Amino acid sequence: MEIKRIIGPAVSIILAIGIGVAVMVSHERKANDEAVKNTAASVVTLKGMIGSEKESLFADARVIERLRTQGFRVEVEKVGSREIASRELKGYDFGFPAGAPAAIALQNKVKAKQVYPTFFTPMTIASWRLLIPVLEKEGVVKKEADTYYIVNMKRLLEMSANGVRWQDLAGNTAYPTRKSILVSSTDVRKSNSAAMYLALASYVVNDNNVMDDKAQVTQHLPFLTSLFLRQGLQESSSAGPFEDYTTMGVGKAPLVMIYESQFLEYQSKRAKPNMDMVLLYPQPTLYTKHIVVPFTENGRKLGELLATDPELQNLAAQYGYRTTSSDNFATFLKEKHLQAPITIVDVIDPPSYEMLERMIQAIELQFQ
Amino acid sequence: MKNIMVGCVIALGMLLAGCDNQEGGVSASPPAARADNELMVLAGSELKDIAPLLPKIEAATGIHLRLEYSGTLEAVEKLQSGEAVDMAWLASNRYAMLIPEVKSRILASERTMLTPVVLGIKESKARELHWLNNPKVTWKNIADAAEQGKFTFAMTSPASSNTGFSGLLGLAAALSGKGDALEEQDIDARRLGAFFKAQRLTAGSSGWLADAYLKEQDKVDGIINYASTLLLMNQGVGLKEKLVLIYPQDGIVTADYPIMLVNPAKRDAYNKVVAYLRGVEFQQQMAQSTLRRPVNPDVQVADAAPNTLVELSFPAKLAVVDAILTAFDHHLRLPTDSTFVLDQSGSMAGGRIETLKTAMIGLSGADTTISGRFSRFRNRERIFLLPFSNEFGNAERFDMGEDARSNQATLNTLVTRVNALRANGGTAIFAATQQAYLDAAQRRRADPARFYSIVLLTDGQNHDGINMGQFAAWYAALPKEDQGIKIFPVLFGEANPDELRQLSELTGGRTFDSRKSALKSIFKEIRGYQ
Repeated sequence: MEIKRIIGPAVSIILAIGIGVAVMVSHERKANDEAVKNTAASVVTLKGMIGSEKESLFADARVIERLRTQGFRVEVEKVGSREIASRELKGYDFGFPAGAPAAIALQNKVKAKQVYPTFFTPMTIASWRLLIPVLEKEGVVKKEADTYYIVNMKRLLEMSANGVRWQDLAGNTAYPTRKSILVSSTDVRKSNSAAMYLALASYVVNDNNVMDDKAQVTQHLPFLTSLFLRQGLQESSSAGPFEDYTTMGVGKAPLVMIYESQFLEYQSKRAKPNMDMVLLYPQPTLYTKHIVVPFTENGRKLGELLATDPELQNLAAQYGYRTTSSDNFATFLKEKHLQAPITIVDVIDPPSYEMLERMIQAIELQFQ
Repeated sequence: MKNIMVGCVIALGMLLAGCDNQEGGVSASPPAARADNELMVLAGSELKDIAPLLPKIEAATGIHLRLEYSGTLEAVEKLQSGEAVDMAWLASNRYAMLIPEVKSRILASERTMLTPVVLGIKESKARELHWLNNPKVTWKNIADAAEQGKFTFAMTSPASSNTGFSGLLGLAAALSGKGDALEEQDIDARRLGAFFKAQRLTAGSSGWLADAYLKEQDKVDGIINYASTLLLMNQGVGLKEKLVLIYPQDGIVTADYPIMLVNPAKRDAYNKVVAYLRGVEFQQQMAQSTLRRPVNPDVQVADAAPNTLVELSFPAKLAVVDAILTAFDHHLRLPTDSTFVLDQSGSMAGGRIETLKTAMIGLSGADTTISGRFSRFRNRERIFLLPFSNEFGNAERFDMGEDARSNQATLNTLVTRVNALRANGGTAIFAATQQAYLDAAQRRRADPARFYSIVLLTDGQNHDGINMGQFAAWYAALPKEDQGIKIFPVLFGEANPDELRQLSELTGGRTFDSRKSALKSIFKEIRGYQ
């Protein structure tokens, strides 16, 4: 600490010589900014709230350019998907949450006539290669045709509910920690990915049936609540736990409920995919649909464009999303040397909006 | 080229006036426009080491971040009270996220860098305890060693500083033996209490604690702090013996430095700043200068932390965290022995003595803010009041016990005494301090397992009794074991800063300046050091 104090001023004095150069550079930059502003005159600017997972898509220069040629400049703000409906919506043109339940809630609030499903992605669990043998031995995970499936989700959830720790698993020398086996997720009150985890867990615990009456909810609620409560403090949006996974590693995040697209996007941007990271596909799983909910006429036009424009659809595939044409997705995987099942056979529907809300509200009470 | 630019901007920051003139030649924007680019950032005091990089942030984003530093809980409280800031940038926002009024003000949050809170311990001690190159050391082992008197450590106050807070939360989680989020009933008070018997040094901030450790490294074996701070200490010249970093196998708590948007009107600027902070350039420079780990996976790290560090879950309920903090203050930590040497000379008359009374009474329970609650007089604390003018009597003693009702009665008496203070007479600063010191030293001989400290508040020059030089000579002649009771002078009014600074340096204390911040907050801040 002492050293830094001395070096700081010394370095800056030496470098002070460059003043003239920097002034020149900033002058040049200003000129460029002007140029950009002028061409932007014919373009409408839209403001929207989006689930955090789509932020990088909207920041992609190709997406920005394609939208611009279609007459749009889009400003986005990251908000937990389930939070959007509770925000002040004035001044915004559209909401673009993850997940049909969040989109329905938003649609009901703004009374939008039409909404625009754009692309979708399955719920998956990000994990680590070193844990695979342990999970295989427990009969939880099985590899089929290059994909790791969670073939016994029920067993995984039961281990969580029973407080089994990683160190309790037979022959686990790879990760013998005292940590409980828990799938980490976002805050179920705020974020779609956690709500999807709840939807999946409720199906599994309800003997592979979609929850459809109050009695079932009451029966399974303690189990479902513990899956969330025992995680401790959670983040409101899906980028958080995934960042735990990518920056803090297996010690923080051995199993994380994420969108397949998050994983594929991350890996596709590395010079080489990180081979220590493994994506697990629950059997069954469910899809998260990304649906534009317009608040204004411009928002509606944007929704329509995102849902139908072949170029934007293809760009979405570059971010790991699946679209109506599976060719885009297949090409993306091939180009980036990534592995994922092109078709997913075993997909369930989430419970009804009302049923899901009922469960979430009951869990919320336990957090007080 | 890039380096030259960056250097210029540093210089711009340092030679502000000079650069202004030069820039005026090419930029048409009036000086007022500059303020539009300035964002007020409520910043954790840990971020002072980012200050040298601020000019680079400004060069890349055109945004000037004005960092206003404070402790972690204090920052949370400022957010709660609605203080107008554009952003907040703290070592951790976990506590903030548990308070609904604060959480709702945080519109976006992005982590910027990482460093875990760990134990640094002298190499010889690590060898003796078989902890050298031993990845299996757990908090349980550490607690056992502490309980058996095999090592001593330094840690900040959990209510004032994020390292103490993380250390305590980590320890509580690990000792509970649970593998998931802690609940109130899981707190193992006995083990925790045993652990904190080995604490020898406390402080209100992590940076100050590191400096204090350097000064007192002969007296204490280890220090709980950020891994990055410990690594910097190892790179520096102040340590007689290198610190071995222990990353307990049963789990750590990592500071992740989230930058948070508070003012919705500044979202664009926020996005720009975040993009730069998480970009390769900042991440690389930050990692090099602070030794924290980057959050950008494209930036390589030099620091060889074990890659399977287990991260402990943070409680999801405010009640659990508050219960741990309260238990720490009142039951777990070593008890406090604090003397307040208070100037009631004639010059204190009027507003000054009233301010002093409010500050003291705040510590007695009147202050119900978050920081107020965690800076109150504690169970088992011994409080001494020594008001002085040109003359002074014996200090009055107030004993806090374990029982809430009798404690309330004690505090009521204390409040009555404080309210009865009358400004009158001359100023015998050093004579009064000397007596307080002598009494404290005697008590410490009889009962060493406490944190002893003396707070001295004065608004004037010394006119009566011994002077600073005589005090220093007297202090130097004390037996070694009677030295080192920290004096925390508070500058007030026309107090002589040089003399009071000498006093704090002599004893390893710290000077606080009430001309810079309110006396009430200073008294709360001092509690972190007691």
